[in-house]
Amino acid sequence: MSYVDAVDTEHWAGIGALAFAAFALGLPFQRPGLFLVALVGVGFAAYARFGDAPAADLTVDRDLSETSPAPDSEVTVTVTVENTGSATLPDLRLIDGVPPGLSVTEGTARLGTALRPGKRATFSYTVTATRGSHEWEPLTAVVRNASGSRERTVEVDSGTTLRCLPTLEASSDLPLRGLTTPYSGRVATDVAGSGLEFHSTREYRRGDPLSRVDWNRYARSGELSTVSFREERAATVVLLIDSREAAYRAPDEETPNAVERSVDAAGEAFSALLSTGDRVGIASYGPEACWLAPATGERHRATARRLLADHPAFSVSPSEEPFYPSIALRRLRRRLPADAQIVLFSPVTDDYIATVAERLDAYGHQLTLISPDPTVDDAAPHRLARLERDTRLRRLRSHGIRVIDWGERPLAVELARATRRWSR
Amino acid sequence: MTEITREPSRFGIAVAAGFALLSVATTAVVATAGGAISGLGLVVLLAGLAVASRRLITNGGGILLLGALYVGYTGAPPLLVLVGALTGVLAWDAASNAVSVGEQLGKETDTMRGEVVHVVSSVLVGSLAVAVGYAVYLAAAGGQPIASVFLLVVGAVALVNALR
Repeated sequence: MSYVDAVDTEHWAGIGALAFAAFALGLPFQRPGLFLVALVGVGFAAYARFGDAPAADLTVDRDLSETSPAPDSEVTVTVTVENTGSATLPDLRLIDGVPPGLSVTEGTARLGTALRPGKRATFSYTVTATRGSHEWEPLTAVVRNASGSRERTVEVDSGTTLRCLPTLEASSDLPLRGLTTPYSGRVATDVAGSGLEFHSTREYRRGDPLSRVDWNRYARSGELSTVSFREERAATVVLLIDSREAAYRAPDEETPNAVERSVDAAGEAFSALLSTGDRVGIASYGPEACWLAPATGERHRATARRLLADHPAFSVSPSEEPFYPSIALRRLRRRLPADAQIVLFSPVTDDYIATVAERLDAYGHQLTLISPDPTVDDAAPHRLARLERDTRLRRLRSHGIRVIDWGERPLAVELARATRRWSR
Repeated sequence: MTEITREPSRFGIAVAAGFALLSVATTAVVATAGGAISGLGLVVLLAGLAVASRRLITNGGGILLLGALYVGYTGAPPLLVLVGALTGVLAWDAASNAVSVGEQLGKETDTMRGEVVHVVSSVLVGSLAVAVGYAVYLAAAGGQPIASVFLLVVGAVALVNALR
């Protein structure tokens, strides 16, 4: 608990003037009524001067209806404040420190009341849970004396945390590019071998499996030939999330920012890739470094779920740490396996991240960009930002990078559209 | 976060308007001109509540009290003057408190309990001042009422200064 010295509120400023005016008017005209009015003024002036704002001793107890809810579920917060001091608090104004990442959807996180010693006041409000670990800030209590002439602000701490893990639901398959590992999987490669999709035919060689001999052709011409299919292999994918300050952009206050959407999309992609047997890792490109090496398995999924929920790199507001782009890029390249593809999640709000994407693609990590669109076209500067972003995306596409411009529709819809375009 | 509306609470507006109306009624009974001045004060006070401006509210309260002072100057019965002035002060107090509550907690928040306590304690203090003053005035009615009330005011000022 921290105390601040009481300050004057100037609530009764001017009451002395009433006393003075009434007295001054009453004196020459000899009116008892005016003297009595002056007495009322003096009485209130004395009342304003009487007593300081009490030093409040409060304890706060927050009760969440659910401490680890699913994203977007409603959590009722019940706050109980008890006056544990010996002073009566005639005018107590409570403002709860709702975490910046949560929004109050019903009721207000405030209360105006009066509390005698040992008594409690309770108020409740509803917040909508969002991904991440949210810690409540201290409750602010403004205490006034009875007349309201003095005011003191007290902050009362009570550690309350709400942890909200993303569900990692796979909504749609993420189309991958051709870079693969030697292990079998589901990415069709240009390598001839066994598989499903036709690749080529060639002359029969000793040792070729009988099931792949083209018997129809043998019947027609008497020549033995072997059919080859495209080999299907697994890929190693690193989901790279742009968490620089420039990526924290949102069209308005209500809509989640681009990093939030990126993290959601990365969660979906992670789950989808893991279930198709690919090795998936997670990395951040921002002031707070985060690295989860590509792997498979249920334990890996649990690790990723926790990481996406409350790693400081993916918090809902930008990190205050300084960011050294070239060091971060060098460290990322050292860590990336040589056969790793990259799926970059970035709103591409500046030129720099576009050059990073080009460089990573040029180093041989085939890159797919999923770009949540934070732009709006309501005013000239916003429209300009949208045009600039469009130009950047076009340039990346011309470099052979696959780009998904993710607008307001669900990611699955955009993915389906993009997949149709790419397979043509 | 759902934005709170930083406007005076409904309860505060109702109490302030009630006291101001009472003040206007009391002054109008004695002198129409005083009632007119107080009426103007009421309008300014309500305007101040509508735009949540403490400056307008202070001006409105001042005009209300000016009406009461004018009535006192015309030589009205002291009790009516006292009630007019007291309700004027209470209206100003309630309005000003409603604005500060609105600024800090917003219109949607439950602020009833805190505001009721504030209004009730103001009413008690004001009534005490009126009761003491009027009692002294009545007690001295046979002799020198003006001198006694004059001395009472001087004594009260001296006491307040000593308390400082």
